[in-house]
Amino acid sequence: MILNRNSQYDKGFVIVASMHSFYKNSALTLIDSLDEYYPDCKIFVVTHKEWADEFKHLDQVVDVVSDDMPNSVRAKLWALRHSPFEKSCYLDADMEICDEQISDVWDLLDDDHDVAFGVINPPNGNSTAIYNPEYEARIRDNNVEKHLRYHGGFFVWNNTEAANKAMWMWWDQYVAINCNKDWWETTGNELDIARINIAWDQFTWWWIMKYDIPELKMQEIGDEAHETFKWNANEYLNDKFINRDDIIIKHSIINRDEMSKTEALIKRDELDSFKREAGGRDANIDNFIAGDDK
Amino acid sequence: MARFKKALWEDPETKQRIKALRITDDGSSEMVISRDDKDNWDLIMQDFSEEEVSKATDEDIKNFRQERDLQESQDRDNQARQEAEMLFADKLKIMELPEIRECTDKKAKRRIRKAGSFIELAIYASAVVAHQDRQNDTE
Repeated sequence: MILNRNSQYDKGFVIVASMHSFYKNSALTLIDSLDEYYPDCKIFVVTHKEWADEFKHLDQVVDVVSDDMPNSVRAKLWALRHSPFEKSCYLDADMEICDEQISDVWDLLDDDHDVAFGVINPPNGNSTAIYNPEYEARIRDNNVEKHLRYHGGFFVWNNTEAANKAMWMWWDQYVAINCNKDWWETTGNELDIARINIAWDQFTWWWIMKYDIPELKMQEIGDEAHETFKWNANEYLNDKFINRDDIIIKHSIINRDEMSKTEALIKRDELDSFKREAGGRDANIDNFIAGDDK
Repeated sequence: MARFKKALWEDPETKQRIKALRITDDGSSEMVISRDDKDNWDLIMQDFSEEEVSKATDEDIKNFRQERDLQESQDRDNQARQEAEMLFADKLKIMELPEIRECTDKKAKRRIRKAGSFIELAIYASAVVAHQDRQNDTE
């Protein structure tokens, strides 16, 4: 685990293109939108060898990493530890930049904190309940003790020891927890964790914050919902939540039915979780490809 | 003895008939009572005044319109969302065409990314393919 890494660049974006050409092409459109609204930015890409050449020549791309990239729907978690930036911003591949204010993204995290996340909009999307009672009662109040709170599609982190430790652990803990059937039948049951969380890397993040690195200093993006949503707006947010003209980052929704009509680069039986013999399952494996509204 | 609930004017303009839920010991049923049906009219007037029926009817119409407007708004949002999803999916599929993938004209590809409708997308993609074809023919 590298806790004190030497950054090659002061700030930049981390983008992961994996599994299916839909995600590769959406990553390419995301980079084009960064080129339009923030041409001076730097981008670090993690993608499969087969796609690396499509990214290498792009003006903002400083490095493309493919070696040892896991075949997982959550390969993004592995990518985070390789960031070459002093201050990094992760963007989901299916995002698109809509405004020049993207260059202010670095102000969302100050020097007194390790990581900054946007808060999930509880009325929309899948359940965010951590424990079974809230999940079964369909409670969606975003109670900080009982719900997954942070959106994993967009976040910023500093090159601090605690942040690097968290980013390094995220993939390892995802494998150890989410992909490990035994964990859910022992620890998961003992703590009465809602089984739906097996799919969410946000659950792994919550675990890291609560049990592994409680000293991690978290900053929430925006004091008000509007402020959060303009940095991560999807089609589920109507005009009540956000004025369309205020959106800085749009989060598109990849249509799974349409995607399933096209063959993926990484086939189902090539997923690392299939190769593991521990009986683990990869998150969202039934849907095959990652992508959710958290 | 029968009692009535949810008494509303069948037609709030004419106020000649009341639609109500009739409650008896055996259960309940909807019925429409005309002013001509004196026995039942007097019976329901023991439970509601005409002013109360008018007020309840106004409230019922207001609620109906609010629910209808909300439903229409949700339907519009859903339709817009589905169209946005399909448009985005079509862009991602089009980008996998060899002619688009190999195109190095940033401006042309950006038009595909920013296409706001299926027609725009088709036009821009066709233009790129035609351009690539011409380029290949001259090489």
